[in-house]
Amino acid sequence: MSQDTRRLHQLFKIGSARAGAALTGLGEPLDALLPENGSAIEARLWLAIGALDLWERSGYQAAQVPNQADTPAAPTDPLPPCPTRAEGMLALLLRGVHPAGLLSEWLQLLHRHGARLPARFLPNLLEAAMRQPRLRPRVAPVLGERGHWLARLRPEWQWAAIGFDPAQRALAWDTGSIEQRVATLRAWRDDDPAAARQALMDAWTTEPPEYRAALLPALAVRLGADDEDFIESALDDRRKEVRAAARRLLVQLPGSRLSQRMRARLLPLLQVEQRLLRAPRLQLALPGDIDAAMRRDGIGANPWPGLGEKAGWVIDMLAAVDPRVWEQAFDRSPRKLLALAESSEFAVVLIRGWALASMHDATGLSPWLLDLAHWSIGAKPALREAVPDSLFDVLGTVARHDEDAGLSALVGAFSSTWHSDAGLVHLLHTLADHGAGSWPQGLSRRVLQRIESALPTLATLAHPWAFRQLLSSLALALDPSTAAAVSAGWHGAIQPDHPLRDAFDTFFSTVRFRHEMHLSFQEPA
Amino acid sequence: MAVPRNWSNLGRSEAALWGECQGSGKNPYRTQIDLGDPAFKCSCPSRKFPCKHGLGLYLLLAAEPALFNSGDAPAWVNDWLQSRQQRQEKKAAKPETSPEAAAAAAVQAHKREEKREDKVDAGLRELQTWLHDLAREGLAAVRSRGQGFWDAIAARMVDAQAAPLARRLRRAGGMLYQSNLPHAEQLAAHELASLYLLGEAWRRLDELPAPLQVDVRTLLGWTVSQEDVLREAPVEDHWRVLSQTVSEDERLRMRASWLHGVASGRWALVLQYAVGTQGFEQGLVPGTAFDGALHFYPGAFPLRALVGQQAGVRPLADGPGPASNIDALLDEYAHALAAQPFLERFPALLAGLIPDAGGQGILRDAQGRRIELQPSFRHAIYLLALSAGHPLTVFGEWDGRALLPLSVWHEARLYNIDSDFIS
Repeated sequence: MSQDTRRLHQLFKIGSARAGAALTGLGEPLDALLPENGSAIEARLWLAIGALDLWERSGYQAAQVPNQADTPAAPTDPLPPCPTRAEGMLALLLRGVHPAGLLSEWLQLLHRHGARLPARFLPNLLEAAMRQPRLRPRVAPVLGERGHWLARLRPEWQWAAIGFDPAQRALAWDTGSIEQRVATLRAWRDDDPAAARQALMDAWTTEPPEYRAALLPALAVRLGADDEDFIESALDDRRKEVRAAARRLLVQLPGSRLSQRMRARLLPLLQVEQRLLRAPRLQLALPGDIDAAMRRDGIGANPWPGLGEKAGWVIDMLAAVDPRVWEQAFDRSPRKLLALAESSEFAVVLIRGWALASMHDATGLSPWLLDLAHWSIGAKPALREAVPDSLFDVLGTVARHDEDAGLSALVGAFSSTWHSDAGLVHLLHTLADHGAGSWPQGLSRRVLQRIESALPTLATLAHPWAFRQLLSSLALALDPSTAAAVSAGWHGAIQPDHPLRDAFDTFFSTVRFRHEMHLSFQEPA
Repeated sequence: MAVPRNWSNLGRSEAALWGECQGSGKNPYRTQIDLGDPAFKCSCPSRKFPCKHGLGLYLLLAAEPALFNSGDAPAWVNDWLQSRQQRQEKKAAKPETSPEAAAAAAVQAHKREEKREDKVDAGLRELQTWLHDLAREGLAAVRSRGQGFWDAIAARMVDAQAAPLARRLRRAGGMLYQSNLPHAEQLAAHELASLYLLGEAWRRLDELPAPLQVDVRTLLGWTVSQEDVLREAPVEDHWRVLSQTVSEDERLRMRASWLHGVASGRWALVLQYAVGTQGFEQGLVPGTAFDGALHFYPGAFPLRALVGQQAGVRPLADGPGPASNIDALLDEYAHALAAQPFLERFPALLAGLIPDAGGQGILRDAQGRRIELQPSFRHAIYLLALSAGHPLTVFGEWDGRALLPLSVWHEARLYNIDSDFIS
């Protein structure tokens, strides 16, 4: 803005009545266009502002920007672009037409296809994943060079900016925010666990306690026996959260010293009791007292409502020992052990402890997980609660790999009136409520069969809300082509006045959309 | 509605699409679409147009084309298609009016026109006095009076039948109370000064060149009828649709599309209006091109146009056209302002622009010069995502100081900012 303009605007702001100054000329050639000094100052002010505006706009000159050598352009992307139809599907998802869980599946399909996100939607996905950290591991591998380049521009997207460049990583580790440093450490662990651990150990003593608590869990990435000494030392940390994080890590580490100590404490307490004319049972003797070493290992750290204090200690101990230990110790299969525990006075304590321990190993379908689930669906409702719902959560996360049909068998073991048992409907819902990725066809078919056989009596359910919930989670979990194929056969059973009609309509529209989504990735890129 | 379960007797021919949809009634609704326009008809009682069945039928075709049997249309479809054709033929043959009636109507119109001119004249005098008072008191002093101060003078302009002035006065006042607008006072001052100049132009209307007179009258609220525009000589060309924005005011939606003629090099702005849920009459899709004839509204620098004929719509394959650079743009803009100083929108197609990664809201050209983006532009991060540091070809509107990007050409595709980005 020129001096002249500034002067005029200043005059207009304070008003000619107050300004008292005369309007000075604008110089040739504009002055010639303006009326003589005879007319009112207000009229001349307006004409001058208008004329100067036109003058400036028609004679605009673009200023030079200092050279931006420090932000080089993104390199060419090695990943191919996303198929056109799939891009259209993503646009629908981002406009919020379909359930939010589908976005995660779309991202997975794109990753499996080996392609990258369309550039025009990069800001939307960076923003979505910023708000929902669960999406970040799905977004990061499909960002492409453009996405990494873009993420560097905003501080809140830094989690996505971490490239494979070691210099950048060191910088993020030394100077980044705590979220960035956690993300950096996790990525680093994935590349080089030992170097990442060393970096954490070097910084450990100077980190404030809340940072120690935030950083330590990153060691869960590629956790190994080499990490044990360091984590064990963190059990003596002054901050409670750090000690808890260290315990969680050691429990996940097979054969850790912590779990050996727990095993040694438990062995004297457990005994198989042979009874005359009755089934044998597992007897538990409650521990006498708690000492400093037990407290250090986390015994008594968790409250167990509804159970005695000492019983709670036993759960803490059992939860830290790989349940396979007990197969050897008592020379029995998991099913037999569960049967032994069921008739024990402390059935809930034993089974809760085993369930928590078996959930630490979520790498594959451990027989304990499945056997506990089987036991739970057959158990009396009072005992069923010993197995936490979260066990079905863990099963749900590995359901995609149900190659040996363990889960199919579990669903097959449901009683024929399963749909009138709200607890079972809820368990199936928990199993399905993981959105990410589809179940294998076998499992999908089995679940659909179970629903199909329930169709005739669904209209009279006492708890339709639980079944609605189940349908909405199944819509995201079932293999879409298998589920879409049954839609025609179910029309007859779901009449327009059926109380679950709208839930089934939504179910099929979601399933069909997912089917289209999967197909959209099959055309060549 | 786009669910196969609801439909039966689905079919399609080259001219039409049909199906029967089971609704809440006993008999299924007969839904049909004339693929030519397209036009919809349905036997349902809905007053929405097109109704949900018509849209559902179309969506179903898009989703699962295999469900439609191709073959001869049933009688109820053929009857409708025929009656449509007859109606169109009737419409083409317009009734003639007698010369006496035409003369009487002309006299009436002339009287109305004189009355309106008087009203506008009085309104502009009032506005001039108001602006003088404003300059005397100073902008800072009236600021505290709030939007009501501006609404009052705007209401006076509505009474004076100068509706566009009312809109611009409200907008100028609104700028002052918009918290995130940089340089709001200067922008308001420029807008008000432009209104002042418009009043001056009206006062000396007879001294202005004839085309500019039309512009001044248009800016004061006179409209040129579509029939009159369509009588202007057509400009035949291959037209590229380079951008489209839809804005909504109450229930009236306005769609603005910028077109560029391949042979003539002319720019055209097509404004279309639709009320409520209605669709727009003519199809214009950004990123496509067509052969057609445009009729331009008269004026000193004609930009606004109507589409007379349109044929051979196809995707834009060969790029957005010859892009210019900032120097050429400024030259063209200066010439345009010289011819029509009240020009509000000016099209600019610029190649080789790199969005600045540091200060968002700036583009750099190949010589490293800065082009600012208008403060109302909210998609700078999307331009950065497309560019990633590489040059882009950007189409937008230039206002003399800043650019409002409307579309981007990237990797052999046109991205219309209003519709292709989701924010």
